Amino acid sequence: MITMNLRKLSIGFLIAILVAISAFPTGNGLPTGITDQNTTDTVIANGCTCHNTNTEATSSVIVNLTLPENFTSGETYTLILNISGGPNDLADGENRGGFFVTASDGELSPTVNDTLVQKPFGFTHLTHTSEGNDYREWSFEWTAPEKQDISVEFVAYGNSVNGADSSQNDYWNKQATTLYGVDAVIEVEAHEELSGPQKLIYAFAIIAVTLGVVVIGNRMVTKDQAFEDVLKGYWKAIYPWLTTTDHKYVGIMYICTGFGWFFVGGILGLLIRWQLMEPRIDGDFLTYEEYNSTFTMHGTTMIFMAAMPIIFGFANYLIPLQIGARDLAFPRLNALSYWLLPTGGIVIYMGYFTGGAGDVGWTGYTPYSSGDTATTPGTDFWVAGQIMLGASSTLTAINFLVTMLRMRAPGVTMMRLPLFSWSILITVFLLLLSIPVFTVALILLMADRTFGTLYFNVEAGADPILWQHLFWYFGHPEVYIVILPAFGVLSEIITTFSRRPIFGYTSMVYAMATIGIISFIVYGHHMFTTGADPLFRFIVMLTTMLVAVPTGIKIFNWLATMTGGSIVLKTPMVFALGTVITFTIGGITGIVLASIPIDIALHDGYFVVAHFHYVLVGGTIFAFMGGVYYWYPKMTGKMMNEKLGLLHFALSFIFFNAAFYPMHNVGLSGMPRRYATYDASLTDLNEFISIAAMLFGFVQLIFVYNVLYSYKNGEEAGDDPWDGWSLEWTTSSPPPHNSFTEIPTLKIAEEEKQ
Amino acid sequence: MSLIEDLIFFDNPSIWNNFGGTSSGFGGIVWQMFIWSVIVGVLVIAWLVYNLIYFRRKDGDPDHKDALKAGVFPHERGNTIIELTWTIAPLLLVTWLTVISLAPLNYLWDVPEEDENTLTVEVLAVQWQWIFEMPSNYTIPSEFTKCGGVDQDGNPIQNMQITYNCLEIPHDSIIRFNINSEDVLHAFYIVEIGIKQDVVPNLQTLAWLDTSTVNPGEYNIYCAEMCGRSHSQMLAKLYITEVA
Amino acid sequence: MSDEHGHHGTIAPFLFGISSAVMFIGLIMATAGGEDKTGDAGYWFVFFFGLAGMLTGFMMWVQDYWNQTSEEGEEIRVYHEFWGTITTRKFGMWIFLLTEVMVFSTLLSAYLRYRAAVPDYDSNLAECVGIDPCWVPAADVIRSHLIFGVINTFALLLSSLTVVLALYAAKNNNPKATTRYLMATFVLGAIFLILKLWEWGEMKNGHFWSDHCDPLKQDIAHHCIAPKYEHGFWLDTSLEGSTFYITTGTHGAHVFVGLIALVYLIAKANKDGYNEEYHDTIELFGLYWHYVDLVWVFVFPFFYLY
Ligand code: HEA
Ligand code: HEA
Ligand code: CUA
Ligand SMILES: [Cu+2]
Repeated sequence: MITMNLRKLSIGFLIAILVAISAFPTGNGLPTGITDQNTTDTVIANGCTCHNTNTEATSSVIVNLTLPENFTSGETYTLILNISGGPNDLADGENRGGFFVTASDGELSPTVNDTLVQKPFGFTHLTHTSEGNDYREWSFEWTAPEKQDISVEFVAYGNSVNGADSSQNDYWNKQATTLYGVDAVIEVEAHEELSGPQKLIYAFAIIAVTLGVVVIGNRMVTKDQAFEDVLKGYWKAIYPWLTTTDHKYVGIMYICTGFGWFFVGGILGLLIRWQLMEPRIDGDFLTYEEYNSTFTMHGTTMIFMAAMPIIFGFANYLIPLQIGARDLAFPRLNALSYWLLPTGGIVIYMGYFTGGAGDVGWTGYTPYSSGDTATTPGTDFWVAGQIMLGASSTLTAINFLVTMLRMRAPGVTMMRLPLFSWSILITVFLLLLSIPVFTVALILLMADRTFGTLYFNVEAGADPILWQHLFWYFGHPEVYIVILPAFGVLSEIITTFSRRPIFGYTSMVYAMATIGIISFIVYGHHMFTTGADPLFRFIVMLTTMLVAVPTGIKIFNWLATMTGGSIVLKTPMVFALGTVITFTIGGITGIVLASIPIDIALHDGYFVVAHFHYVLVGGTIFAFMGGVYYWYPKMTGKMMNEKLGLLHFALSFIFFNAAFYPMHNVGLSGMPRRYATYDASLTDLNEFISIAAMLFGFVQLIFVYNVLYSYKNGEEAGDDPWDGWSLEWTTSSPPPHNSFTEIPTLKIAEEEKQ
Repeated sequence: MSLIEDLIFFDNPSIWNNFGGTSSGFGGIVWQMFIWSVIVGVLVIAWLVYNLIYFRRKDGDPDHKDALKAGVFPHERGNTIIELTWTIAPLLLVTWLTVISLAPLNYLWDVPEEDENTLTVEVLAVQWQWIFEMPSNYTIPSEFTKCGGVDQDGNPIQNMQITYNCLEIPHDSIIRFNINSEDVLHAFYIVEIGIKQDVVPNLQTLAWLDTSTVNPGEYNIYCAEMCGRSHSQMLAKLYITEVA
Repeated sequence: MSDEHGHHGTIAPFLFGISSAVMFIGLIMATAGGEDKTGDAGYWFVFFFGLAGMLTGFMMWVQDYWNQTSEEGEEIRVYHEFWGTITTRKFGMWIFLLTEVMVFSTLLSAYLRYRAAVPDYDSNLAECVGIDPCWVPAADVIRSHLIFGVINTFALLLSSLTVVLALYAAKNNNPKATTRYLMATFVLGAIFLILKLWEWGEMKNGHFWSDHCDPLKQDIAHHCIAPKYEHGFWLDTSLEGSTFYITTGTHGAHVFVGLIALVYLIAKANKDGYNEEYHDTIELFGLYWHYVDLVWVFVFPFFYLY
């Protein structure tokens, strides 16, 4: 009876949500063609080049630059700049004010014979002359650029001076204005309504709706069913997924969601590469602001919505099987963890529907992210969604820790856990200790942005580095959170396909634990160029280098496992071996970065980008693709196609290296990351990278095809197709409703023999 | 061709030679890092390839005596001495890499005092431009022509104490940068010389450069910390000019 | 789906997830959306709608427990002796508390970082005159009315005791006493929150000192506070305000959550009664409540005395 009501309730609820969402405004047009953002809090003291003012900014000074409605190419306009407010309201006579104005395009010039305004030699901006500083209003000319379908950014600074000899008690303010060309107005409106990534999302929506209509319509016609019956049929198919608490179903949902977001994040990655194909001017493909949103969403999506869900999908599916339990300790909590994930993702992406997604980088450094030059409300959505994801991960971590410590089957003692289980155990420990910190930091940021607190407000005296400490205290363990499970997968695959026990099981466990512990004291290596305490930075360099030791132990143990084994080269194994190579390269560049003098040159450049794609794509993503090939038979009962698998690997490996290896060179040549354009001398390399990256993305379609194809046409797998040892291979494929018909007991090789 | 060359050679001489502004002792660390990286990488890859060549399973191979069996925890394998070897060797290596990082670090962090022997330049970063200010008692040398203004008659003004997105400094001297931000984080990055220092609001950060270690000429200054829309446009020029 | 746990499918997690997304979307659009990016009040509707959905999801979840005689379900069998000494749920609670420890450590360490970096306010200190970078501790703002903080501390400590007594009563099969002790806990918690809100209101409106303050002797000894708090002390007046209200606010939110749990416990104790066999939930709540208490033991000296 209860379920009946719930069902009705949830239908009603879903419909209401759809209605609420469809009521969203989508971007805002610009009727006059002029946007005006008076950024009073980011003003500077350079209104007058003869003043060395370091006084605070004041909003009481009003800077007003009068511009035409729009401009026509080549035409010359007279512009008037005046200031009011501030001390020169009272002061009289000489030295009352000054100004400084720049235009992003076209040419500014003093009016002929005007002695009040000058254009300094070799510059494009205008400022007042020593005579001009007796005035509060100046006029000058601006010749429009050749193109009239673009926008021009004017920035004006006004200085209000009290006339005293010192620069004390002088105030200034800044005004930024955008002027659109006649042809730009229409274009700009269209642009605002449907910006690049937005188009993409709408396209997806349209495709989804069309598909829905076709599929449902088709059903209605061929099966001759009423519309409601078709819907009911689908509802019946979907409802179990919405309500399931079974770790296997939840696990599969996690994995699919993860790969789904990986696809979206990958497309964003390709947008980045398209933008960087050649040095582009603002708005040529993406505007610079959109570019910032693009890499922010890319990084956030990939780390939090692709890598972590894929990992926890596998953990969900496999951990109970590997430890011989029927489910997790708190199945409903597990379902909640899952559902906070796609919904949190939607919140993060809401920015695209409201005029620009968050543009603060995946690291969200304050005070940029807490100030109002960051996109609003895109950044707020980014923060809110991240809070949901943080809650999700916290709950997952609690759930797994309890399950793994308490629910192991007979014989599964701690030192007999499969290495994948060990990696997840250590990962959830890291999560427990780190993710709450990040979530709290996000809540503080949200409080700053939404409720007016001042935690990160530098004008109120806040510490601008605080965020970095909180973020990286979480952020560095986070990168090990995404790599340790990959190590686990590699350990499983490499033993199985070497057909012999892993070399040094115990040292593998201790190595992972050591990495976990050290990870909390190395985070400062992301902050070598901040003004942080030198001793802090130095200690961090030492500990960062130390991580190479346990990681090396793992790499060498894998290689030793293979030596003397009998290696079977199936797709999972080639992926695992490919990962060993790419991860090693990425790890070594990490060690290069850990040396402070070198990091000072390379920080925030493409060398870093190369490093982390090698460990993230070449480590986590490759390992888990291997994981898909390895455990797909267990999950579906079907084998994946070997030929397609090997082809997928070969092409991925080649194009991955082609795309990301040259980034090292780009970085060494001095290209900073998060740059929407770059020095033209690097065009060749960047183009090469872009093309290889597109191909890499393209190749992933083979994988998608293989997954779908094998689901229908794959060979039957049987319980243990690869001859693995751990308990998941003792149950049927796919496992029965309760995972095991009977709780298994793990035997030991030594006792087996007798 | 140039692409292939680019892939093999790193065309940033400062990284290799007069890294961080010193030719003495600095080049060494980069070369060493590079060489050790290659050695470790090649070692891993070579071992892996060796395994693949010699230990492939062939049809009809018998199962190992300790082959895996479903539901059975396998024999433990290991060898303390071997494992200790590959614990201690990397330990020594990273210790060495840390040690060679120390000297350059001391040099970098030993920022000279503000006194008559150094030229102190105030660097102010704002969204999105660089403002440089010479000390008020500094007489701009007549050789400086790159970053001036013009007066109303169009004659160049050379004695500008404050310059925008352009900085000219003398060769053969010690320059100290006092770096401040007006709004958000930026990073002061002299590309070809490899100096990078975050610009932090509410906190003055420092950097320095001994211009006798680099050639006179034109250098690029970038902003290397994400600071909003025009982050990639926050560029400036640095001129190092010989003065009599 | 796994019958052994006594759990069946439930839509509650889905509902809760979707609703929290709607809630956040509403909140953000209402505060930062709209044409001028300063908020579109129309979206408060969406916010409350999402909140209602979350509440529904939560109630559905709780209902499952409500319908059972005990909350436990069938306890999962343990094959490893050491880990069998603690129940699954209690273990889960301990680990949850570990994450909570991280939450408050973050807040307190952020606060201490600021305290260490900024000198304390002193009207004689030159640097504190004018635009003042000096720290006026919340303790100084509250000093003249510290009594409420003290009462609160005792209320909370006492409530920790009443929870223990409730558990004790339950173990002794005394349902009436259990209910009564739980109610006492609720009342003490409620007192805490009410006093806290009242104290906040007073601080926000600057009532703590203006009556006694001699404008000529603006120092703390004369119940006067730094000039910057003439118009009150709120979370957007200064860093001191932000750290104070966010930290005590987070703690207050935990007390509030505890009160909600208590409502359930009281109702359930009334309906089915906790007894010798079923008292685990009270114990779990007790753990949480002691933790919240313990946090106060840190928050109180850091913000009210230091
Ligand atoms: C999966 C993710 C992952 C992993 C595993 C790592 C692993 C490591 N990372 Fe990486 N890192 C990132 C993801 C990751 N990183 C990301 C995302 C960023 C950028 C964040 C941002 O700013 O956006 C980053 C940035 C980053 C920086 C900051 C760069 C900068 O911004 O200036 C540094 C500096 O020290 C660093 C170092 C290291 C080190 C020393 C390791 C070590 O753990 C590597 C250890 C492994 C090996 C060394 C290889 C195997 C070992 C052997 C074969 C033994 C013998 C070897 C030796 C003796 C050398 N990383
Ligand atoms: C796991 C993490 C991850 C992954 C996988 C990737 C993948 C890629 N990244 Fe990544 N990237 C980051 C994490 C990751 N990135 C992070 C953290 C940052 C920093 C952000 C910041 O600065 O804030 C970054 C930044 C970053 C930059 C620097 C931007 C800048 O600083 O200006 C660039 C530039 O080239 C880039 C490119 C790419 C490309 C081309 C890929 C390609 O590998 C993508 C290829 C993949 C696809 C195209 C998807 C196709 C997939 C399918 C077809 C299969 C779909 C499957 C199913 C539906 C089942 N990324
Ligand atoms: Cu300034 Cu980036
Ligand atoms: Cu790190």
